[in-house]
Amino acid sequence: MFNVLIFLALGIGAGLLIRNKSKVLPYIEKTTGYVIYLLLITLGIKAGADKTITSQIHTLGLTALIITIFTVSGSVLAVWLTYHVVFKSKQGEK
Amino acid sequence: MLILLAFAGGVVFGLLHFFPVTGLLGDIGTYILYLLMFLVGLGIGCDSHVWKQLRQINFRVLLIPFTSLIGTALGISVYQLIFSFPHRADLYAIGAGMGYYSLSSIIISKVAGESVGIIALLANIIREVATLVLAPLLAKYFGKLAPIAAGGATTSDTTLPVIMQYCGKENIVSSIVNGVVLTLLVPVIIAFIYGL
Repeated sequence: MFNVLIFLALGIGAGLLIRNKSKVLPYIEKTTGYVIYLLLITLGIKAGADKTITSQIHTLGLTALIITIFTVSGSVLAVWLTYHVVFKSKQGEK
Repeated sequence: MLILLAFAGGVVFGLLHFFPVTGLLGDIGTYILYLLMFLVGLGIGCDSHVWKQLRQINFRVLLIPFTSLIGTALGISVYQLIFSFPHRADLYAIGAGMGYYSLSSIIISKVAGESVGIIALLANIIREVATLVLAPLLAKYFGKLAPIAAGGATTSDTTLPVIMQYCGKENIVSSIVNGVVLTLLVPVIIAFIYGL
């Protein structure tokens, strides 16, 4: 875990050093996208080969869906209460 | 959609036992994660827009990601009350993914095992897809900040176009700040939850 954060910090440092050559940014973002796909493929391969997961996928998917209903509702209600009831913000009303 | 295809494609290869899974692939996964973290950092570091916008933000804008995080934690607590998940820390870590499915699911599967990692992946992909699909409804009934709250860490990239369309240009900075702050916080919070 600590290694992961070190690599993030190294990346930010390196990014700050090369930031003036801003033309590289689109390539970095593109590469990041590809690496994410690569990771998802490896994660998928491991999941597909794992019999305990493939036999549980219906329950895992349903659990994930229900968890998401709770997290999204929680976030939306918390922000709604804070900004529209407490602050009565006009920022979001336009 | 490509996201689901990449994962589904991997699952098919896995089912066919196309690649050796033990040892080698696990290690490759770790190195790909390091590379991804470096790239994410590189992207944040050299994007002068991000740093400029971070300097312009005020208290009210900065409050959105933290309110959203607290809301997610409360939602998880209610879920726990109703369904009682085996390990409470895993559940909070899944929620703390905030839609950042790639990173959160990989960290979580390293710590808590493959099946919890899969739930984290699916739950956070569903969060992103739900934001994309529900943005107009959320904006209509819960205000223009609701899609940003729902989108979590994704509001600075994948869900930004939808948010721009349904929440107006005046909320673009809020959306980007929310996404950037949460993207930075997700790995830190998951690490904190597991006491790493």
